[in-house]
Amino acid sequence: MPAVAVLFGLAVASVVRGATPPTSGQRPLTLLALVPDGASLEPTAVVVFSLARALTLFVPLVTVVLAAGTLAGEYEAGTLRTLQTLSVSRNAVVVGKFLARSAVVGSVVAAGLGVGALATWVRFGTVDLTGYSVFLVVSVVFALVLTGITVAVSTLVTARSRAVALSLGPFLLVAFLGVDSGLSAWLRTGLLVQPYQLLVAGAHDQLAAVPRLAFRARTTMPNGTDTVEALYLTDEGAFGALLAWPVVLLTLAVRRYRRRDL
Amino acid sequence: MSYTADGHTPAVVADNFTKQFGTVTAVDGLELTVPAGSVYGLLGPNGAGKSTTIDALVGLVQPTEGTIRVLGMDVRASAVDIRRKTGILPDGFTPYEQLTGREHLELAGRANGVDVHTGDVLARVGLTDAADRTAGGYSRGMCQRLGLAMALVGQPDLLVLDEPGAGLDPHGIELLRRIVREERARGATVLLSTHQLAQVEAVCDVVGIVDEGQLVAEDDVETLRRTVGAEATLRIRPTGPLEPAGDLLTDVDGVAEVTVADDALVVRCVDEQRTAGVIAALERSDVALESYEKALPGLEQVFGAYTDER
Repeated sequence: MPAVAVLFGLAVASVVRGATPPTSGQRPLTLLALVPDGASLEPTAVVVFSLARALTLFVPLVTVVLAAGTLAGEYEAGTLRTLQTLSVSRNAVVVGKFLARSAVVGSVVAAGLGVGALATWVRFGTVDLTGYSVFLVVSVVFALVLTGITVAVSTLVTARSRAVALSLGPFLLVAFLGVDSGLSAWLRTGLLVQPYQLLVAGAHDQLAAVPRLAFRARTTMPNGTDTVEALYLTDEGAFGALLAWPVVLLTLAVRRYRRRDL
Repeated sequence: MSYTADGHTPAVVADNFTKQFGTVTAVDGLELTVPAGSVYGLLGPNGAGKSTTIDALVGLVQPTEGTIRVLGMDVRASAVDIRRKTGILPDGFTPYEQLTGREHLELAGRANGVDVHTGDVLARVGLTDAADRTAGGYSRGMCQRLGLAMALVGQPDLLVLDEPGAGLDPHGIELLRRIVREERARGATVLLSTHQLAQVEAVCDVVGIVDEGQLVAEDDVETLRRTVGAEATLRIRPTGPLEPAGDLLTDVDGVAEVTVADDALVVRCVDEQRTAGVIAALERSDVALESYEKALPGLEQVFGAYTDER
């Protein structure tokens, strides 16, 4: 775990060091946009914009490294049988393992992004602590969502390597598909990246979520009046879409694990 | 013991217990009753279904058919409560490499909600010197002792030991037998599964022989010996030459065969009762005896008789 934390912190610092606004015509693999509104871009907005893009790849890697072996690794090692000879229920084992891994992954991501805040201050001499804190919290939630999914996969399979493949593969797929403009925005809601970046957009006034901008452009009345925003583009909808995956998968995993022969 | 206020409720009752893994039937309609307060040995060759049965008793595998009640509770509905009152040494016990021996016992104590005097329990299994070393450095025998120590935490009503002698040296085997006897004396029921016949012979009150997923025999060791009706063997050393004595015994009723080995006559009798006639025949003759010894059939023969005939 310390090695993963150090590498993640270095990766975040590296992104902050190279953080620049996208040039015109660039497709930066993100659903976020920087909107200076006539003012100059603030460093925190640029840093959050860059990190939110990088984290869609970094967080899955960190999560899978730290959580894929949760139950599958213990099953392979034989210690899961040892654990289940004690008077703990199978539900408690899965939930307990999920909470423990969440604490580990959440700590690593929070610490790494803490390094990012420090790197921002070192490079730019200023950090919008409020905005950056919102981004940090949203990113930790994103990491915990991926942790829940990874632990669920690890509960359903019997080998760590299979848990790695079956969680990292889909995560990398959604990192790209989740920002694919060829897919409709409501479909992208189920692909994790869009809801995460919708929430990140709330971290700073100079950040905007492209799906929201596109929706408003399509639905604003000729007289300039806004229509009601689609639920899947609201913060509440995004939060619900993120939570749905780990809740559903963990529930399925627990039910399956309760009946499994060890 | 709280679950046997009347002293008659069996510690384990398996009724038509069947377990299938895909198309393989590991246990086929097993009927098993382990009396409270006994040391019950579940004996059988590899693949007979012993470990599957043990695993089902503590909820590690789910029965395909039938019911299992442990300490009066149904294993499907009350697996956690059963494990709280049961000390378990599973087959191939694997410790956590990063935890010390002492931490393993603390873990078991916390899970079972009991205070543990870790030093006392570790001393009981001979692991005092390794108490604060991580289990990753333990030998196979030390791991087995640690698993036994975890099973003893909280003075369980039932001890379930699956191949407890695996990896143990002779001292460890002797220690295991002593602990089993001590636990029985405390009032606990002990169910142990093994293919080591000597283990069963040394400590078990009741033996159940399992083969191809079914209980093929169940009784105390002596009764099983008699049931098999196996032969008894006499090794006789006369003071004089062997040949006249051998000729004499060949015609004695009940003697199946007389051979010579290591300067002694080996007299195979059709059953134990006939050995008295052999000695009486020698005493009636002019053959003087230097010594003789009787060998009764061991569990090997009993085990072989029940598992080979199927």
